[in-house]
Amino acid sequence: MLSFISRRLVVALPTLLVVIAGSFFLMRAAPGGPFDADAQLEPEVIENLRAAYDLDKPVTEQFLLYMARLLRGDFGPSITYADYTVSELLAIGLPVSVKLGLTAIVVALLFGCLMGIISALNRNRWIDYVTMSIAMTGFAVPAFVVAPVLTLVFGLYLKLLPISGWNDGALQNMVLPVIALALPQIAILSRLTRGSMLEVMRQNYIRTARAKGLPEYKVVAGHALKAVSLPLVSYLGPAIAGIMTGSVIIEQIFGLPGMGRYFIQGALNRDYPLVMGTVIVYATAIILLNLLADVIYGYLDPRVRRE
Amino acid sequence: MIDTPTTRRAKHPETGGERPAVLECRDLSVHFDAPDGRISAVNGISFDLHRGQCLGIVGESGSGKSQTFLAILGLLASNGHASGSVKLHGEEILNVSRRRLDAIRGEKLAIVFQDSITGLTPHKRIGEQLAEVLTQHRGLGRAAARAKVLEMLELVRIPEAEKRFRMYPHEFSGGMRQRVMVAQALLCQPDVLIADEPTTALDVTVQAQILKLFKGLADHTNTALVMITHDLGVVAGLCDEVMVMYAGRVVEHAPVDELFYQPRHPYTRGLLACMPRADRDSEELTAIPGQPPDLEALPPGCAFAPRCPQAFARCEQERPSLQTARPGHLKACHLEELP
Amino acid sequence: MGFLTQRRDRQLAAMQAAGRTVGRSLWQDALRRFMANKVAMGSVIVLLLISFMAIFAPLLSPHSMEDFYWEYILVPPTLENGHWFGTDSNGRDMFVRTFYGARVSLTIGVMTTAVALLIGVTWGSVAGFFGGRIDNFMMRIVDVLYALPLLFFIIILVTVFGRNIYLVFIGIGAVEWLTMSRIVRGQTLSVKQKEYVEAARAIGLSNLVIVRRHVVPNIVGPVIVFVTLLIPTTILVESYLSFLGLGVQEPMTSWGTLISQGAANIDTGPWLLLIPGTFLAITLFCFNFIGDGLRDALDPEGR
Repeated sequence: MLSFISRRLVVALPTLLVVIAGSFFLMRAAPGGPFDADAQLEPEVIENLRAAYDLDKPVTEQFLLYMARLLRGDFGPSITYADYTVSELLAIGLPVSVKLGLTAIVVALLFGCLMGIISALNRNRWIDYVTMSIAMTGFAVPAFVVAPVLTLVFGLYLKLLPISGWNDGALQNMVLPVIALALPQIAILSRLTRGSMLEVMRQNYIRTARAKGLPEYKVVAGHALKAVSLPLVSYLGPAIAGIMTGSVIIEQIFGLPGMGRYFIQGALNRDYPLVMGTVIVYATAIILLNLLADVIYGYLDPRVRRE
Repeated sequence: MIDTPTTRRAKHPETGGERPAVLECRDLSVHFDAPDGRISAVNGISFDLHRGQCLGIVGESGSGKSQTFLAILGLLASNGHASGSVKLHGEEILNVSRRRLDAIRGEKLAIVFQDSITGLTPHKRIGEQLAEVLTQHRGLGRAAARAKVLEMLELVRIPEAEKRFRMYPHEFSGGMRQRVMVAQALLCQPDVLIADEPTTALDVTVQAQILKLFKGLADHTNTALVMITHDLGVVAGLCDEVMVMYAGRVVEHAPVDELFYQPRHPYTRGLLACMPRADRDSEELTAIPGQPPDLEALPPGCAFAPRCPQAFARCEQERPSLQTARPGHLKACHLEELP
Repeated sequence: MGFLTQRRDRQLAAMQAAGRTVGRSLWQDALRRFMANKVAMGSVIVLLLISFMAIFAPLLSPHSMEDFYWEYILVPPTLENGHWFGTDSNGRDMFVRTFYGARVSLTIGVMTTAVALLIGVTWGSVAGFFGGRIDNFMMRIVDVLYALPLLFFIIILVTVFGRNIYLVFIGIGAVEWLTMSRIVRGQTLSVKQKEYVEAARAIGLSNLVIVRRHVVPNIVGPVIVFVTLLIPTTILVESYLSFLGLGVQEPMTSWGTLISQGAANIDTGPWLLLIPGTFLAITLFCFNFIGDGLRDALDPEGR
């Protein structure tokens, strides 16, 4: 298992490097720069600013300088938020996004699995149809449609919940963003769970377990559950990526001070260090969480572990 | 709607019916609800099984031989329904509660399935899969169950049982997995052991080893053995009695020697002719002409009539019932009833 | 390390299974099964209707999408004043705008899918056909790309290079080909090992003939299924970008742009969000139902 993890880490590092280099050069490749909007500035001032952010040097040198700084754990200063370093901004944004994302994924797993199992156990009965219709709706109605509707109904009509703001992650501020973020994942997870459950219960080894005289709960718990969870674990990586991209929009809609907002602001203003910082954090999170999913998968399926 | 053959009173072909039967099956039928209607898979099967006896069930795939026993074990697919009566030691076990079935399955009635690759849970250690039979039925603790399992693994000749106990199914060879399946079925010393084509998926040499295992079982224990197979060769070396099935019905039922030397049904004769035999110097293998029957569109008369070389007008109109050809030998064919 | 591929192949298994039963002679069977699927056929009809409206509604309506009706600002949907879907905060007719948005969204969906199809099929079939080291190398690249937050790259791309509609669909297409290449590769590999291909090779058919006669027909099934599922995905990604203000720009509009404007006016004009939102959802529904229907039709034993 350890060798497996270390091998995966060896692949993860180049991947991260690709992300860093990719976004770095992508941004530099376009004409223009971060100070284009400030047309009223004197050319000398702009030159000074460019020098201050190393922007006057050749791109490869900039990249090496950036990497050298990064290795020391320094993401550099933000250009748009002139009084902050990127690390400081990340320290504000990351906890918000992590709390939001984790809550959403837990909620999604909980409801998704539950709905899927209920559906599978009541296959082709009305409860199955109802659950799967809800799932289908969640699948086809994107978060950026759901979120404004939620604010309209619960915030503006019913006046039950605040429609925006973070308020240090207070429960009532979390409810709507988490629902909007989790809904598409609930839709996918419940369909996945249902399909997996039906598939596994059809397997020959389930028949063998029943033939041994095991009561149904032992058949399901002892022989089916691990196999049922395998596709769910596989989906965990994409689910996390989905939640992350979703949170970019959700943070915009609900005005939450998370990473997504800084990323968009950074991209719009060509705040190179800020964009790099957020992308690196996102990529690292995705890579690490994918690794975690693989480890769990290996734990659940002995056939994979050997490799 | 189910055509019942004349119910045969329980009689052992050799002893004339003195011993009580372990398993009594009467008029067992199985049908499946399909989208386009109901498919009848098994029709009015009756037989008795005695202690220490080995009954062979022979037929092509789709003949209903497996479904018969899945029905007895209550393991039909969810759209399958069984009717009739099956008694284990005189107690009805067909269509009883799950709780009752759980007490019987694995304990008194055990089955070895054909496909050991998919038949064992892939993510559970072999030892655990075996031991849970004992904890379930015998209430044994961990250590006691383990000891018993190791003993059984050695009995079915699995080397290094200690080590194997902790391994997963995919780390076993096909033959080894099939031995595990056999061991699993034998753990509670069941009264009836059903083997559903236990050697089909295996190499010829491994097949021989597994059959030897069953042979030893049949000879040395009191367990009644049901050997479901499409291979008459397997039956010849192992069974006392043979039931030949075609399209969900029994077409011939006889002691093994009689069936081989005096087959009464053209289908049985056809099967025998298909067998490659070392003692006969035939160059070509014969095959029964035509296709296996389509269960959704069976002819009104004898299901085998379309393929039968000796079929005549009556065969296509009237279904032959299972009748005594001579004591202990049943067949369902119009042929020898001709005046 | 074949691990990653292995468990993702599992995810694709359902998709690939669609190819299992596809032979030339089975196409008609599949078509018959598909026609018998009421939900899928209903979806086809609804999609055709929406496409019809997308093409003709902007042409036939008395309003144009850029006409400002100052006397009708933020008027809710009604049959009385000729603005059936109401008007937006600039007094523009939502009926025309919605179907104009449909035109843009559907076009982008189809075009990006075509880009993804082209890259994915080429990449996957080359990898699958040559196998060995080439395959290993090409699929490793796919693995690496899979692990990246690619949507973030698209965002960087469009913010930095300017918000240009062509860039949007090249960007999305360049991201969404990954799964397609996996499917095609898997299918190519498995077909290559089939007996009939070995037989074809044994009787001396050239590679090209083998590919045309045996490999292509077997790949078509899963690819068609995936394409119907990819179109809604790309429509969704486009709306996502447009919602953030990074996709389609004024005066052009798409469902995502309309939804974004609707979200901004959610308190005063909820129909501005609900109408394009509903059309988007219905379209996504229909594509998914058709995709499911096609999969079932091509792989009847699958479920």
